[in-house]
Amino acid sequence: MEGRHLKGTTMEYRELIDAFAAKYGMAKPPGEGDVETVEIDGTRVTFREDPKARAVILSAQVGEMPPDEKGRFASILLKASGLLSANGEGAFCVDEDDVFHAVRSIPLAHADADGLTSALESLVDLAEMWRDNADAFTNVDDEIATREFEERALNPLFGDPNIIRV
Amino acid sequence: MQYGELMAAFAAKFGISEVNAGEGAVVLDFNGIPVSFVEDKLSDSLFIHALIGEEPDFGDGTLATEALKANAVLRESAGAALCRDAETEKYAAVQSLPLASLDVDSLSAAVDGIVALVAEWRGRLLSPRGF
Repeated sequence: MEGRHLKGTTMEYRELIDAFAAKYGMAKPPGEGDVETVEIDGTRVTFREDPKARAVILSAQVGEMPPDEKGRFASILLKASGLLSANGEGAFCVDEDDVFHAVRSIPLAHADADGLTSALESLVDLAEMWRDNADAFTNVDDEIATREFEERALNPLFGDPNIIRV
Repeated sequence: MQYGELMAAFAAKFGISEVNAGEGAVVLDFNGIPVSFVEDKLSDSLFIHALIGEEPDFGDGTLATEALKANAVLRESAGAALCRDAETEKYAAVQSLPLASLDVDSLSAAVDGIVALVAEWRGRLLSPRGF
């Protein structure tokens, strides 16, 4: 995928969000409090400021945890997070409503409107991939699910796996 | 900042005069928590990894769900996320940061976040039911 490497800038969070909104033709991104929400190709994406790390936290909604096998599914998502993070593509998380998301933190010093868009689209691609291949990741054991995730998501979306085992 | 230059400056902060960043991972121990630093040349970023440990015998997926919930608030860990190794199944805290925007101060903040996350979760793995 092209354009994943973000350029260095000195933008502040609000300035970055405004530039992003302008790029999408929005006067101001819809949001509640300090959380902005947009929808890209049917995927709900939120971004918020992380003042402590001087970063933007992006998350793309993927799907709901299966109610009758949350624990096993959580284990699959955590292992998939290991593969994602080794590729610099963030991790999975789950919210209080048992909805899971792909999430990523991007330092402000390394983000601009184009870079933010690129990172968002990368998360959206990942969310779409998961939904398109959901059957391959459910009703199978952890090992198969993790391998399927690597083959169906990491390789096509992000190129050859770059897994660093230390 | 270049990887070797950054690791040398970061290690110097702790009185370490020399690190061999040219050969694989640099591992620094923070109060019993070894943290590994590896350059990812493909994405020009620094990958940080710290092992937490194995899921206790009571593992029923509850802890994995809690770890995913923790990942929803990355801002409390300065961007570090929890994961499990696909092969060993051990829990770890990880973070990937663009080298171009890193300096000793921002790396220190990231390491503080990851060490705190590991310390918290090691405690969880040791306590009854993980909480």
